[in-house]
Amino acid sequence: MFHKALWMRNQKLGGPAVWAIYLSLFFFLPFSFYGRAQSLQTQVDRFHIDETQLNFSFHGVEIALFMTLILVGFASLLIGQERTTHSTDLTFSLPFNRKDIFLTKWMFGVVHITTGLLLNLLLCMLIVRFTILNEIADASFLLEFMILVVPFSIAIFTFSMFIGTIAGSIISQFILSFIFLFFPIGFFSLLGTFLMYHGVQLDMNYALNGTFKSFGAFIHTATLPIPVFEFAYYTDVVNEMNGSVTDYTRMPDYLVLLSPLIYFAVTFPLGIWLFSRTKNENNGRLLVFEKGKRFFSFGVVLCFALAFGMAGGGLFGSFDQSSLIGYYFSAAIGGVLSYLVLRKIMNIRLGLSK
Amino acid sequence: MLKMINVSKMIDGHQVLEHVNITLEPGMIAGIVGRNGVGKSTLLRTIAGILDPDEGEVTFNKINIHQQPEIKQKLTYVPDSTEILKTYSVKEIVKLYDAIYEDFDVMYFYSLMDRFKLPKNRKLRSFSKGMKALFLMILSFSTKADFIILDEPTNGLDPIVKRNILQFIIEEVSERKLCVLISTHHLEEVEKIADVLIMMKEGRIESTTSIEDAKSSFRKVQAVYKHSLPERIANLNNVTILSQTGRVYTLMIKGNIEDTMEKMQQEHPLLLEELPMTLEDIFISSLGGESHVS
Repeated sequence: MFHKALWMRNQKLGGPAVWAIYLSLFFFLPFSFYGRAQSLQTQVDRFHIDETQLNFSFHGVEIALFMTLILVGFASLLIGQERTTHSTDLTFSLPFNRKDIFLTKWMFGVVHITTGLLLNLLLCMLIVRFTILNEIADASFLLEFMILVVPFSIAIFTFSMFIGTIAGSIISQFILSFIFLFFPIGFFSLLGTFLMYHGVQLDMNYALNGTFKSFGAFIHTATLPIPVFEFAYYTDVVNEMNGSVTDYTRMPDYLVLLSPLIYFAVTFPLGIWLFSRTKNENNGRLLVFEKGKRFFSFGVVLCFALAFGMAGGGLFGSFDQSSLIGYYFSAAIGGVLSYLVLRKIMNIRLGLSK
Repeated sequence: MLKMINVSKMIDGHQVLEHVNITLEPGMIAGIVGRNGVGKSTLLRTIAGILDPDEGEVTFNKINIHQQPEIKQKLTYVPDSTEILKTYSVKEIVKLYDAIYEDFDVMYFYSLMDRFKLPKNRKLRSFSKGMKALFLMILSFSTKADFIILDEPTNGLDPIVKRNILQFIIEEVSERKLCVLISTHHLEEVEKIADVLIMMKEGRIESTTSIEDAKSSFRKVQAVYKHSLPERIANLNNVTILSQTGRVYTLMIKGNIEDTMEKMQQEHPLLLEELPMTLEDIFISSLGGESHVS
């Protein structure tokens, strides 16, 4: 399965993303941690502040948002870029089977993502252990974050690789990956509004650690990057009784780890299957497979209709009563507009350097 | 050696390849010709395993190349785009190809680079279009493959390099008994080096013949009659008008040559003489389509 040549080829294709992963993680994690440790040390030295009065916090969203962008970009460079520049002609004419080509791309990504995360989180642990942060924070929160961020990052990357097997260019892979990554939360908001207009109420509330307790909580968990955004650690509370520092880690329920597992179990084998059957003649288009076009178009038109309906229903209604006619009127406009635009862009062939 | 068996392929609702059957043997140079959009590149990309056939199969040494692509260790494809490896330096490409192809001959590659005076320490991006085309061909022959597919290989090459590279292809084929399949619009090249001519028309193989057979089944003549071209001649299915200036007709006769010449003589021409013929004349009369007499 492992081919040195394919690895070398991926190194060339995904090189910029690999650098981006290592550098951005270094910047967001150890570099930022060290900077904050230095700043706290300065406060202690200059103002003679008691260490228990210092505060420190870490939020998953700080790196997860940027990380999602890089992971999707990485997958798009590995698959979509080849389709856009027509260098698939080189890769697919080589003496390797398509499954191995896909697996090597995936493995290349996973190795760099995991190494980047583990290395930088390890550096953070060392910084927490050997700087003033040791006095106020417990490095074990980084271990918890690692347990959360590694599987989620692999799942996001795998998901975007899977989108790459159906998208025909680097741009469509990048955009569709983002749309479908946030699809559960977006679509169910639209569906929830639709049902609300028809007298059905869904419990859209989301309580932390209440993973499957409400419909809203379930949808949050089913939207890949969200649980990583929720992670937080902070310490600033002085315990008056014994003067020790109290800290708090906001870690989503471990059950949320089922989410990346399920995403992986579905998109990884499906990605291999689709890549092996890829239709290279459609490279540069929005989608590679002709057969999925109708289903995709139906989905896009439906979502735009629901979105326009959501926006228009409110506009046409009064302050306490939303307008069902306004909802359907706006939905029709959204549906027709999206259908016309989609019909145009579906057959555009985006190609470079042919 | 290489067999395309009943291959069909549909793209965007159009039948680009229709029941294509080709057999190519070692030591053979085959030229594939046809008008733009006739399916030549699709055919080559299907043989190279880039595109999947909807129907039929492509085998190399009796092994299906789509099911067992490992067989492509002995089959290489040089695309018409010269941009594919442009971000690489020559050294990086050599490293890559050495890792891909078990029999890649690094020494031979560098000797060819010297022979064709190509720079060895530069990125491919800095090469001219012709240099890139030449480089990709050198790379392909250095893999020591038994079957090489060249899609428009001489595009952008100057006449001297073109002549050298055609000479080089002939040398390689005669020395190593490999098979080369060339798609090109430069018919004089095919005429110079190919043993077999494959003509494509609307996704189908119009004919597969040796260059000699192709030439002997056609005759180019110039004819002048008292008035215009007699209807009896004009209605013949095997006669194509290549050009007309006043009453002077340049005609191409395809098959049944002696009978047709006899019929033309019976119409009492003022002038009827045979003209030297090129592959281009055959190409225009067979695949041109629009100027057929009938």
